[in-house]
Amino acid sequence: MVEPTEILGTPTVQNEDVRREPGRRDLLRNPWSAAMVALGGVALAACDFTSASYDRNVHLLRRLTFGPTPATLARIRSIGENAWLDEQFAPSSLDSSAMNAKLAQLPALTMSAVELATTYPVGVPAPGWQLQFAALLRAVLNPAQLHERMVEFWNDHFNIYFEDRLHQRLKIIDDRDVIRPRALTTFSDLLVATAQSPVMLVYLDNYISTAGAINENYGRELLELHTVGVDGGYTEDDVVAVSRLLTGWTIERSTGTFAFRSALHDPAPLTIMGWTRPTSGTALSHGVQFLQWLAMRPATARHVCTKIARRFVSDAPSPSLVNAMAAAWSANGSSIPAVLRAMVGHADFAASASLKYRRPSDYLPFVLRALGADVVVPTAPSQLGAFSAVYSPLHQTPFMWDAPDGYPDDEASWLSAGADLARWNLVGVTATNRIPQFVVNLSPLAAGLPGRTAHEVYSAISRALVHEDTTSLGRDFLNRQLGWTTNLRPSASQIATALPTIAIASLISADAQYR
Amino acid sequence: MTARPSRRTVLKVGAASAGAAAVAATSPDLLRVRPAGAAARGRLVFVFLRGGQDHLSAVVPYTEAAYYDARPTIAIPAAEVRQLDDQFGFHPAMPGLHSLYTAGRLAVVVGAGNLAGDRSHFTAQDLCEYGTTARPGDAKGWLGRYLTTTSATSNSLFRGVAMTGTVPVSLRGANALGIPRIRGFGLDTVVRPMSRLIQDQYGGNAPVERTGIQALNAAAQISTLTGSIATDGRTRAFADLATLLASDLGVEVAAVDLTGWDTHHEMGTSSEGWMRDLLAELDTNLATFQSDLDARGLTDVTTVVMTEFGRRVAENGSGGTDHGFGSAMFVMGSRVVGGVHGEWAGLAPGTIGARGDVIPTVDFRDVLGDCARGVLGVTDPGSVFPGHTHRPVGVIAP
Repeated sequence: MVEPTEILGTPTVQNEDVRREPGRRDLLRNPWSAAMVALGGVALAACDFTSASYDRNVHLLRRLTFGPTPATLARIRSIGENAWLDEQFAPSSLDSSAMNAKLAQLPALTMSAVELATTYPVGVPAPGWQLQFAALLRAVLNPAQLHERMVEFWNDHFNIYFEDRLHQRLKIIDDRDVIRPRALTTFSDLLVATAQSPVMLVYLDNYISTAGAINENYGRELLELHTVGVDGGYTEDDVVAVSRLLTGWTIERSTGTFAFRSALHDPAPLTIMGWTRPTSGTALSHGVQFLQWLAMRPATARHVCTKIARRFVSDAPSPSLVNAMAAAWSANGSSIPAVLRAMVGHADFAASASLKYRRPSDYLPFVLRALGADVVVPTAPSQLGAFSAVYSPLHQTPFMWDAPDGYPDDEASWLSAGADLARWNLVGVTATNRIPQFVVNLSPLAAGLPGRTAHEVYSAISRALVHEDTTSLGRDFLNRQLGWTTNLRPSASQIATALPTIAIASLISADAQYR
Repeated sequence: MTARPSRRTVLKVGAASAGAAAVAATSPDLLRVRPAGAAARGRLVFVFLRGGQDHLSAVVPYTEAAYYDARPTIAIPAAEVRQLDDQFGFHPAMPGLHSLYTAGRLAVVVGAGNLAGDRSHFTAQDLCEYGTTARPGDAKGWLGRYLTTTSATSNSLFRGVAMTGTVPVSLRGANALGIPRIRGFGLDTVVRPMSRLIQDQYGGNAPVERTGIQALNAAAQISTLTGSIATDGRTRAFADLATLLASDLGVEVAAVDLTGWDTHHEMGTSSEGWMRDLLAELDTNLATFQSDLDARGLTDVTTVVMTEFGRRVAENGSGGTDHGFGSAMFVMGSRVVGGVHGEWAGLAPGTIGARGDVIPTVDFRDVLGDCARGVLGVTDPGSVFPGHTHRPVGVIAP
């Protein structure tokens, strides 16, 4: 039933304009509305348009979410950082009904492997685009932002590539049933689940690794990428031994689910990095026990904590930070929330405000959240052309990294002239509403601004979008561009016309300042 | 389970580019920098085959019984190879490269590799691109080192370009440009009038600011070029590169990536399957690129092709091959000394090591060093490959 099929060229083919629904522009549903009222009453009254002092809450949201919004900022200011973290560590406690209503328009997300295979045979568009779109939708709209950030992290760490339809179908199940439920549990549980995830078994060939005819692909990457790391102290013999221990871990062809086949398993005694196979218990349980043991190796803690710190703090995390996180890992059974708490509680986290360049896949939802964009689910794959045109110049389309190490996470891998162009253009086309899937309405930004000076207008809009004034170096340009002068108090209509230009300037400037 | 593998790469580069984000030409208010004397030196294209290309499927030791014994289902039959000499032959899916070989314009280096050896894709690729046997202190790629340590022939922004969205390790350390495609490398219509703002806002010395200014200038200069309309990113990368090389933008070194070579399973036969598809695609890309260069009269361009490691001599239990050691390298162009280069130790049990590898006898840096010296005019290859004493292989004509 679940047979690999020929590759699908691309999940998106046509650029067919999607007519927007006027109702989606409803101002009252725009997340800015309340904030602009607050801005008018508080920020503008304070007339503090130049201070860029460190705001702990803004910094925390910049890292642990896909971008601060007025609503998230109001929430963390209201309940405090610790309570906000508690809330985020319990994602099911948050109201995600608005997002769920949109996700319901992506039917593949809830299907079984068999349903996916029968619903999306060769000849109809493959279902992978639905998971790609869902990843963006969730990043933008899910109130459980930290959960979403960690889902993204684990999807990178346990990378799967949309190589063909089989991988697409099984990754949909992996994302739903393996990664998402465990993204904030323990690494140990997550590791065992990924080792038994059908898509991992297929992607790294373990499903065809059998006694006497092993395939080393998964065994090597399990050690090198998923756990102890390339300097984790294993040998080539260990790679072979791991592969032998996991022979017979395969998939049931008729259902596309995990299966252990003792007939294909090599039951010989073996030792891996000092771990010795037990003499009692089932052969399957030996593999599980080894993975659980592996999850608690200090080298695994250091390797994975270094990657988490690189994602959330800086490209070169200090030993002090990694040690603090690894200590939390070891003391709490590889608890992911414990590790994240240790990270945000470390002095390095507070000192990292301008040390992280957003990856493209984080920049896109950041821009959409800043602009308060609504995300419209396409009703046909052919409508994904415009969406694809947004993603392809960014070079980080979800699930399209073909090597098992996952998309890189450091500035040197992403920063280039082409990347800058792509980001500026993304801001430009989004702020001017030229992507059918993203509906932006800037007009609420103007609330309370008529009567203010030109500089105050720039500053207020910048603060509303990126929570600090990033336009101070660009005022002269904006004045020239808009035909304003410093002492001008632009009218409502002048402000309305100028909104896209000021918004674009704010966001482009924020990127130059690592905000 | 008949897991006929598909090519791992098509989706990655095949995303449709529709009109929504299309961008137009930029304001041509920045002077184009004409490279001074660039023609006096040759130029180099560095093609990296990511994933570990199998030496023995591409360059087949068709006279060795040990090869056929080790690969009962995936070996290329001796009768089908495109002979290079009385010892080696190309996979039948490589007619274009074979023609270049016959014309004396292709050098094939057998048994090449990083003698430090590492079976991790990621470590091995990094070391090949750094041009070292351990992570270098300068964190520069070998092409980045060339660009920063040799006397510049020009101050062009385009001295080092990568035909990729991000800059690969080989070009790190030199502000190289990543130009995934010519069409689209420019500013959107609403952003274009804001170039001045960007210049002001990106005036500092942070990396993102420096690349920002570079982006403005490069986009202005590239706006007059017409890029390939090919929809296959792999084909387009070479077509766009030929356009860049033919322009007066001052390209000296360029990097191109081809992915998908990690063939752990179901490599297939000489006539069909994963390996045949990969090699046919490689052959088409390289031969078409060379034809394009020839048609444009660009005899100063040399192309060198490598991978991070070769694969095991014996096939594994899945009709594939696991991570190995020695690999084949290719050097293509008008300046090469055609033929098979390198010392071949053979595949007898005593010569392939404990795990059954092609044991490399040629350090990859000596092949790249030949190119650095003979093509790029680097008098001391040690300046590009620190700590390594160059031993000429002889792939470039003196």
